[in-house]
Amino acid sequence: MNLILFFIFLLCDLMMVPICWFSFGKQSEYREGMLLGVHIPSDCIGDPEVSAICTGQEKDWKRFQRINLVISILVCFLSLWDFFIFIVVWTIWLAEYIGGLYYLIIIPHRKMYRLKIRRGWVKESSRRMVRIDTSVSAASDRLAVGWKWHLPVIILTAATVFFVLGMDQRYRMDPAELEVVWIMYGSGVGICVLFMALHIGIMSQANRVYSENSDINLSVNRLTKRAWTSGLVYASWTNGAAWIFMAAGYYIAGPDLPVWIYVVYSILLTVGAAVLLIPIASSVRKRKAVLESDQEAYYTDDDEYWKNGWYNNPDDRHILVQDRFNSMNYSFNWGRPGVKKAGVILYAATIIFVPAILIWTFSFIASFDNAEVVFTESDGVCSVEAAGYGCEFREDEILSAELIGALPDDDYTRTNGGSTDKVDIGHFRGKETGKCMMFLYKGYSPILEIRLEDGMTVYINSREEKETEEWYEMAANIG
Amino acid sequence: MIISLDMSSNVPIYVQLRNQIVTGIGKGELKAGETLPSVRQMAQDAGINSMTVNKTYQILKAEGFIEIDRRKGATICPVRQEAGIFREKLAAELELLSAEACLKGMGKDEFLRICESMFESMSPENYCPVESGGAL
Repeated sequence: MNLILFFIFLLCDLMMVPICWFSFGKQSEYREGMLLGVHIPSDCIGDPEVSAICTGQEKDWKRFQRINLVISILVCFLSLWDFFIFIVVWTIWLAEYIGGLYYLIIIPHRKMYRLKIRRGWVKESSRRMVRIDTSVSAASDRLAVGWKWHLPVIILTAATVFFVLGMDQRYRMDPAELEVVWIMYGSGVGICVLFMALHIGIMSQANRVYSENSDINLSVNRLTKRAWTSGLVYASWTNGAAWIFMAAGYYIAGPDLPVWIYVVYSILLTVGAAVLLIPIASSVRKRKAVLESDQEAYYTDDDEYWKNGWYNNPDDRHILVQDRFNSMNYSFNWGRPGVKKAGVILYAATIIFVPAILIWTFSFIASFDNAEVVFTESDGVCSVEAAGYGCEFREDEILSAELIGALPDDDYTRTNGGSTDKVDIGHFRGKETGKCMMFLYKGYSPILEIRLEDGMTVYINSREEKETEEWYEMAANIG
Repeated sequence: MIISLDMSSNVPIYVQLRNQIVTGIGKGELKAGETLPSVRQMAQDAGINSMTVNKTYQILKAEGFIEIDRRKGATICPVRQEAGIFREKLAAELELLSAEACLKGMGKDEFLRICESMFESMSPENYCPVESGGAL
């Protein structure tokens, strides 16, 4: 298991770092009249101070990325030793990486802006100017793929509710098992709805004027909007297909799915991410080619709204604007009162919840390793409890109780609970056994097996052989 | 046609928008029958309130520069020969401009040259001037 997690995190890091490296790494190239996100006149790019800032940024950027690539790989090895320590260290590394990225983008940008102001490289004619290309605006409805393409897949995905309900009836699933399926159902439908909402948001984005030539403006705006909206439609359909496939698998094969269904599901999700990103990345390349061929480029010097490294324009009604540092990305307008409030809440929530989740995860995981199995009987009701998981059954619900030397030879899948080196606690499902609950210390025997009339089997043991035998007596006497 | 709005100007946005559209029609950059962006789209692209754009469109409609159809939206009207009606307004505006030119020390020849140059830059579609001997 640890090996699988090692490879998942390694792959994730090996994708994340290079993507950030190269998508934000071209700041010191003179593009769209800008260096490091600041509009600089083309005849000033050879200025020694400008060159020094750009060279410094480039050097720091490469060093930072190389070091973080190595750290991210090394951190993954921790997962082979202790997964919980790995998660904590990996989260800290991720926070450092994101913080470092912003630092290395914002600080050189501010330096360049200060230099620009000091040298008076401000194009007054284009300051605080808003430009609209009427032919682009009039054709705006035709620039993007229609958002209604999302509706069929949302309806189909939502309709898998019948598969889930049918599966519940067919296989008499445990509520804890069903909860996992409902979460997957919610995320399947939720992602499609989220993509549709993003689609509508992208469609309502302002069209930008890049050139005096309307054909260029039309072409670039169409490229950007079409790439995003078609990518979102493809991703929505692929994500929907992945969940529909999984839900059908659950309905046909039951909760104990064959591995190949998980594999196909994962492949479809990966394809979904690819079909979202590929059109966007391709549009950035095409857009660059179109803009570079433009002889009548027009740049709006709105640097004063970006001077802090983020967009802050109270006069602009847009909430989302194209990011200055990565044209594939969108940035919030912090000048809008609603965004400020939402931002404060979001940051406060992040500051509070991320450490809280980390602490909770850590204590939750620790609770498994230090878990104590408690078996009690009172007024004919038996209850078992360990690490927050528990079950209760009355004497008339017990079909049989016996002591066994080891767990029956079966293929068990954990549906809701924890499985560590020391314990197996929570809800499981065995191919032969069916739904079961385990409260087991690994490597200890005997095991008390209690079969209940609703088809559930409960496995319990103690570190003390004698104690397990006492529990058996209690269960056998009332059963 | 590309419209530029100066957000720091003292001239109200709806006036800037109206003037630029009229100039665009005058220069032939906006042709008769051409569709203008919808009020919502124009407001969205400019980052301004849709009421501002609506006000501009209503003024342009009242002045006969555009017509608004529920299905087609706002379209540019063909040039109409209404020089007679316009003269009064033109005279009033030119009087003010002439006064300002005099006060700033501009000569008559220079003033007329600028007027001529501006007028020559206009080339509205299907333009057919009405020769009129009427005094301003």
